[in-house]
Parts: sequence; C-alpha cells; structure tokens
Amino acid sequence: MSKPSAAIGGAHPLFYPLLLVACAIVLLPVFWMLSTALKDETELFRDPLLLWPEKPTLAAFRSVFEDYPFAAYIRNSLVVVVCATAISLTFSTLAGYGLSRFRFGGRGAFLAFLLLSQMFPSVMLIIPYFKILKSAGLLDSRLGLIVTYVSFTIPFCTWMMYGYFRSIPVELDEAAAIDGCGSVRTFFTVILPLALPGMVATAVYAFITGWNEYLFALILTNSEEQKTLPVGIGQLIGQYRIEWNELMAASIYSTIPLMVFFLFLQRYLISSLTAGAVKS
Amino acid sequence: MATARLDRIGKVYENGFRAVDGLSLDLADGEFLVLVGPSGCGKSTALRMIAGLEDISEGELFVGDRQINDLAPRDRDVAMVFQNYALYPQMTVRQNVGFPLKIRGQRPHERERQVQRAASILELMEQLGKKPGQLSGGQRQRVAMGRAIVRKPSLFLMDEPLSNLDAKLRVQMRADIAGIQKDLGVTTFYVTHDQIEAMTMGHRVAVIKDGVLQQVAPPEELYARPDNVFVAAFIGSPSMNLCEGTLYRATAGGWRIALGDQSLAVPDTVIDTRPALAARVDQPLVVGFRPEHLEDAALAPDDLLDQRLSVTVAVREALGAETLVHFPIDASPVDSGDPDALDALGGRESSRCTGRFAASTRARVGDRIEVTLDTSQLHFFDRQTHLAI
Repeated sequence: MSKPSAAIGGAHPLFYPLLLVACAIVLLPVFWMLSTALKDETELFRDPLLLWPEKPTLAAFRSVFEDYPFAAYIRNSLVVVVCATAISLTFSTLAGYGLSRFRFGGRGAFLAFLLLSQMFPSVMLIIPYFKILKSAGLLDSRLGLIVTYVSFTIPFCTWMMYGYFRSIPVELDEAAAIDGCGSVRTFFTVILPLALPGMVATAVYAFITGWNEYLFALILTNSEEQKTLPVGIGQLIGQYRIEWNELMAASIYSTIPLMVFFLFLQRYLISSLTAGAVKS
Repeated sequence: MATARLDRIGKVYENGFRAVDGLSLDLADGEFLVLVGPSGCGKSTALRMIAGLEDISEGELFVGDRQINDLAPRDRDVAMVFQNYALYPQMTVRQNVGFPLKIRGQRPHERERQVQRAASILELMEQLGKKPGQLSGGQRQRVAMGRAIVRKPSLFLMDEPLSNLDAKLRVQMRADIAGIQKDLGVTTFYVTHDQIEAMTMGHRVAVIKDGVLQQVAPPEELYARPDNVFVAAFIGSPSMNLCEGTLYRATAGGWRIALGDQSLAVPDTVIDTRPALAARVDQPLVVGFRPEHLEDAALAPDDLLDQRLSVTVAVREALGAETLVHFPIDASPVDSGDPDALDALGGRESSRCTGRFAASTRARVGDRIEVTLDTSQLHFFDRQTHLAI
C-alpha cells in the first residue's frame, strides 16, 4: 500500500480535511446514538433538538436491564452466535481445503450449488424452516437457532475458505508429503497455520451475520428466555411509543461484543503470512 | 545411496494425452543424471512420478531392488527441491530444515546437530533464525536444499531449482550444487530446460522431447555425436546450424557437399568413418555444422581454400571474447522439432546460420564475406527420420 504522501511533493492539501469530514459523517449516527442514550425523557423531544444532553444520565443504561430480561437476551445471542460461528468455521475450513486440493466427482456441481443457494431470498424460507424446526421439536430453542444460522453461513464461509486455500500453493502440500507427512498432518501442521487470516475473516463474517439476524430469531422463538438480542431490542419499539433512550442504550450494549470480537481478532488478519513461501 | 531404474515409465491423462512415453533409464549409485528438454516435454512429469506426486500410468520404478510404483511419497526415501522452493513460510530456517527429521521422530538434540551440519555446508548459519520472507532468492534456494540433504535420502530430485535465480547467481549455484552432490554421493535426478546446466552439471544427460527419450549419454558425447536432429540442435549454444545438403562425387575425384547453390570439398575421412553415408550419395540429407567450425576467411586466408561459403552478414553480435555472426545461406531449412527455436532468418527458402568468429573479425552487417567451414566436422542426418548417419 502506498500512502498518498508517497506521491511527488506530499499529500494533497485537501486529503486529510476530506478524510476528517468523511469520518465525521460516518461517526455521526454513532455519536447521536450515544447522546440519545444519555438523555432523560424530558430532553429527548426538546425543541430545538439537543446535540448533547444538558444533564447526561445513565438511567437508560440501567433501566434496560431492570425492565427487560436483557441479560437473557445477551446470553442467548452469545451462545447461539458463538456456537454457530464455531460450527460453521470448522466445517467450512475442512470443506474449503478438500475442495481446493482434491478432484472428485460432483465437485464443480457442489461449488455451483454453494453459490446458487445464496440466491434465495431468506423471506421465502421462513415457513419451511418453521415447519422443519417444529417437527424436530426445536422451536423456541437456542439449538434451533444454531442449526438455522449454521445453514445460513456455511455456504458462503465454505466459498471464502475455498478461495483462501486456493491462494496457498499446492507445492507446500507436496513438500510436506515428501518430508513425511500424511494428509492429516499436512493439513494441521503446514496448511492450517497459513489459513488463519482467512479463518478469522470467515469467523468475523459468520459472527456478524448471526449477531444481527432478526427475522428468523423473531419467528422461531417466542419465550423471553430464548429471545436473542436483536429481537429484544426490537421489542423496545412499542405499539404506541418508542423508548428512544433505552433503545439507544440497548443498541450500544449490543455493539460492544462485536467490537471486542473484532479488536481481539484483527491482529490475526495478517495478509503477509505467506510471504516467502514460494517465488511470487 | 541407491541405484534407480525407470522401466518404460509412462504417463497418460484421461483425455489420452501422453505426457511421458516409454521412458527407460538406469542410474548408478551416486550418479547425477540431468533430464533436459524444451518446455512441456514431460521432464517435470517424469520427476513427479519418481517422487510419487503423480501416479505412474505405465511401467515400473525401482529404487535399489524395490519396486516403488505404489508407495506414498513419504515412504520412498526421496527428497525434492522445488522450482519455487516451497518453504514453509510460518517456520524459521532452522525449523524448515529440521522439519523432515521432526516428522520422523528424531530427538531435538540430534535434529539440531543435523540442521547445523546442513547449514554449514550451505552457508546458512547466519540465517537459521529467520523466516523465508526475510531471505533472498538464493538463500531460499539453499534452505530448500538444506531441507533435502538433511535426511540423507536414497534419491535427490531437483525440479529446475535454478530457473528463478538471476544469471550470475545461477552460475555460482550450479557449481555449489554439483559440489554438494559429489561430496554427499547421493543419486540425483535433475530436471532443467537449460542445456548449459545440463552440460556442466550432469554425469549423463537425458534429452527428452514430447515425452520420449531422445538420447542419454555423457555431455561430451551428446555434443560430439548426437543421435538425431533434435539432440543436435538442442545441445550447444548457439545451436548447431542445420540445412539440407547433398553429397556427391566431384568430376575430378574426391567428395563434395552441395549446400544450396554453394559447393564445398569434403575430406575422404568423413565418408570412410561413416559407411552408411556412401549409400546416400546424390540424395538430399540434413547437414549440420556447429558455429565454432565456421570462421571468417579473412582471418585465415590460406586455410580450407575449397571449403568456403560466400554469404552476406545479416546480424552481428560482439560478445567481447568472440563475435557471433548470423547469415542466411541458400539451402532449404530444417525444422529440428524444438518448439522454443526461433523461426528461420530470411523466410522459408534459406537457412539461418550462425558462426563463432574470433573477436578480431572485421565483418559488418551487409558485408559480403567468405566463411570457412571445416567440413571434417559435419554431421549428417536422414531427411525423413532425422536420425544420425
């Protein structure tokens, strides 16, 4: 990557100011979310609207937990999404490796199928999923949601890992084979460590997909103990009124795990991991 | 340390394409055999079959007395150096070189000893703690070699290991590899498309074209007595000059060769040492002569008076130690079958020829000059079969 200042003479004078403006535009909704969450009810609808509350209060942050089973929502989301991500990641990594290294009958059709299955609008699948989970006795359960989310993310995760494994040279497998490794040892000792950046990207995708999923969680759960975070937050949009400050506080809560997850994993997203393996 | 034997090895793909056809080779213990040929001739496929990375469609492969067709690569006791190095990027040089030993369960202490030994042979002592991404091309190649030699295998297999290095480094590594192989005495298969590597490094050289073995012999013999037109043209740089010619008896006695509209005397010894040639008088043949047997007549005005060609210089390349001069002659050209060879200079009616003149030559582009050709060094081939006569 070359910096803009790498060009002759230094960065364009408007570059950083424009960047600041772009950041401000992107961060404005986040800022507004925070400022709304800190307002009490009297300040929410003040005319003219306040950019920042005169009397910031954490009351909304507390009442979210007191008035609703918010801890249960968080727990359910975490359990469901972490499990779904782990399962998706495991199988898509193994499948991606197999698809990239071996030739077998039906391989092309399978790859095409993975992509084509993504074309279905998910709304079409609600009723079939409902019926299937019902007959399996998995309605209103975390396990049911895990199975559902895995079915959403595995196809694309497999494609991602397939693409990533293709960028790892086959000569490494061959060198490992000659050095004495069988297929399993080659995979775990030589190839898998190189696939970590791809796995991280795939895990992030699967996590975000599951974490934000609203429609299926809404339809497939109905008891408060089983609802996930998006559904719980959605309930704050009541029939007659909306508790804006609680809504914003709840939203902030729900983004924290995502940020932690991403911050923790971003150091594994090193694209230069395979530098020096083969002559490029 | 082992002998190796390929017995009519072949590789056929599903669509019927034969990459390797009936390849038979016998390697003595400690021999360095070079497999050479143009791109796509099947030499890498043959090497990969020996390694176990490709299935053998036909024939049998022996290492020592064991037939190893169906053995997995790790059970064959071979070590391979890849064209693209194939180093494990997440491991240090020490770990890369020691990896085969680690897989085989050797203790860390003993492993380290072997790694140190390999590193000192290959001058990698300073690099042991680094990762491949921090090394230069030549260093990476040496690490790849270190990983191969550390195991003391029965066979070394090398797949064009020098082709990704720059020219000067290649010259040095050629000598290094040959020296290491001699010291360790491991039987080696070496694949390359570079005939200079083949000539300088191998005990014997096997020339391959379209999956078929053309000739296997020590380098000097390949050079002096090629079995067919392809080998004659492929070995030697610049290539042997090839064109059509006809041998005939001069009215005054003695033999002459007609190359296009020019005629040169041929010493009797040439016919005497090639009995089959006498039966081919007055028939068109493929005639070959090496560039070093041509010289600017102006530099040796009294030599080879009846063995002269009259030509117009087309291209002149001054190399410092000698000068290469290219000129067309009016004889029909011959296609040697090398897919990488350049088209004939001057179209389809004349043959492109190259001469290695002494650097003192005054010939310039466009000059009409006389060129001496030492006809005692001519090669003759059948026009149809391209086999040597």
